[in-house]
Amino acid sequence: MDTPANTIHYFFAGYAVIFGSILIYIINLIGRFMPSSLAQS
Amino acid sequence: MGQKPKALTILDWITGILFITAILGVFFYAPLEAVMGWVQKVFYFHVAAGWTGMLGFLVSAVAGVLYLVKKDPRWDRIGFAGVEIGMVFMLICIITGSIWARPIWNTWWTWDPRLTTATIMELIYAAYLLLRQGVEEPDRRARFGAVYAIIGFISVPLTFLSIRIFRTIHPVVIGSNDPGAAGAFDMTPRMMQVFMFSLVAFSFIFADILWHRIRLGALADHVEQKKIQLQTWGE
Repeated sequence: MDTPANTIHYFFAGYAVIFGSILIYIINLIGRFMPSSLAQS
Repeated sequence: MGQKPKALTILDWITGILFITAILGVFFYAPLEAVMGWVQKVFYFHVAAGWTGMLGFLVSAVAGVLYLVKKDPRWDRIGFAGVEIGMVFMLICIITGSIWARPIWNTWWTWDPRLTTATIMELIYAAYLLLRQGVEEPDRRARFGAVYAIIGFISVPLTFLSIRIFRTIHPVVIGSNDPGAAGAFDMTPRMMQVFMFSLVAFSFIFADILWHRIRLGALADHVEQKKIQLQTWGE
């Protein structure tokens, strides 16, 4: 019986992009929120 | 700008739990696809990210209509937030699609109808963000944003339908595949469960981030108004 193709490196790359992008965007949002909060106070 | 609403804190927690559950589902519950192997698991969040991106663009178009009708700046903030979040998730969708394509199609990129329309859609909204920056007067900027978001939304159904109306190698998840589609697979019940759960989890992520982004927009507008007031008093 054939085994699946060895594509685990692409799997890790895909999820690194997904988690990395979401994390960067959330950090970016927090980074924009902080100065505005300080300016308001 | 008030304290963080309790409902938003609850939404943060629900979203976090759903996201972690979706990750566990993809990594440990969904079976390994017989031909493609591990890279097939990118599909769950690739489609969910595309769905979230299109949801963002839909929200911005609806907010655009409501802004033009009601002239309430809140709708402009919602529309702007929708485009920004939509772009982030659509970019994730495009990049993960390219990573999936490398071992399956033997190329990082091809000008297939789906890939082409998705790229054009992303560029249309990138232009929205750039052109918005160029309009200084807030009312004009909001009116421009509303009209652009409504017209730009034409690219969304075109991208969605591109794999159903054109000859393509991109697989169709729900519906029949083009005979030339490469990388299509039959979903087992477990795969379908994880796929549907991922769509729900990403919808919650979208709602949660959208709420935070709208609050950020409101805060930024409030600070801007205070600065203008201070400048007026100083003169």
